[in-house]
Amino acid sequence: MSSGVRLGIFYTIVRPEEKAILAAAEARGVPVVRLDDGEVTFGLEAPPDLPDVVLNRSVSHTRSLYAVHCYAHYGVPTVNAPAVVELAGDKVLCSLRLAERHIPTPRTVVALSPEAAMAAIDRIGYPAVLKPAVGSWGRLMAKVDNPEDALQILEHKSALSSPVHSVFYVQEYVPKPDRDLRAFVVGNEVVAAMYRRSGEWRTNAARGGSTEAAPLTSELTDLALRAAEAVGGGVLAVDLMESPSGLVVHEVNPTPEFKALAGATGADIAGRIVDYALGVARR
Amino acid sequence: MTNCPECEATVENHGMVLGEVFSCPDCGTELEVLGNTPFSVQPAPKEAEDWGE
Repeated sequence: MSSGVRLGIFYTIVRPEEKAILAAAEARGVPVVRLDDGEVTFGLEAPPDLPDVVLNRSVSHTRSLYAVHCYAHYGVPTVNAPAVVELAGDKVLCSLRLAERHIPTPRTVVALSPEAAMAAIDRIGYPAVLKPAVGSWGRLMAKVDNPEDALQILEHKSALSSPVHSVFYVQEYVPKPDRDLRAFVVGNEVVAAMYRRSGEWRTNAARGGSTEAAPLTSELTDLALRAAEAVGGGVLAVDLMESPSGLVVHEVNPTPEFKALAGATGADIAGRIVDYALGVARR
Repeated sequence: MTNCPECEATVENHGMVLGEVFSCPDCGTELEVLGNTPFSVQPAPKEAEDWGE
């Protein structure tokens, strides 16, 4: 049944997730406006024929950020909202917010030069984890086991030209089982959760880790909802680790993938996302 | 059907949508559906540093 709402989908490429979202919209009779992030342009005045809500599925943090601000400027709500994309899309800003809200998260130190990064790693202690502040799928993350590793990794990072690599986000290495947890939040509900297992320390499903459904315990649900709310709420994947002292949140992802989660749990995540977007659309 | 721009293998459209990314069955290159009528493909965009979730 059509709601009369036109759903914009801002995307880079069409992966199984976007295909599922397109199918969910079609099943609901919702007209879709496809917005290719490599083709759209934004003027200062609102163009005609804007959709009533834009679901951001761009894989580029930079494109996402400018696009959601532009759509907000035109009066079109976005999923997620600009402030959420800003916060959750940047690990530094996200960690600051989680700490402000007293949400358990790994010890983190940020440095803005290779020299300061060495001091930051020393402050965290070995092993430490070095992550890019922006971007994910486990790319360019490094587990630093000793000062010699640290020097070599920092030297390599210094050779990378992108300004992203001049921000050093250093986190404690959390001793955990060979798995982490992903909880998928839509609005005020955790719709599904899964364990992600891997033989290596990075457990991202995009890196080939295996997945299985995880029970929605009260601890997991409470923490995931608090983390999502801390960054402003919406459609968010909250990644958690089982530390010796309990669950800790290490990432909140504002443009989450869900193919593996839907496969592991059978949850209709695409449908839930579309329904949520329709709910925040302008009337 | 069309040809992979990298290896020229024949690639067929099995219900793919505009913009969908898939691997060439022969060479494994990531391809993106550019059009459905006629079916055309191009190499998919390369992963950039700010790509992620």
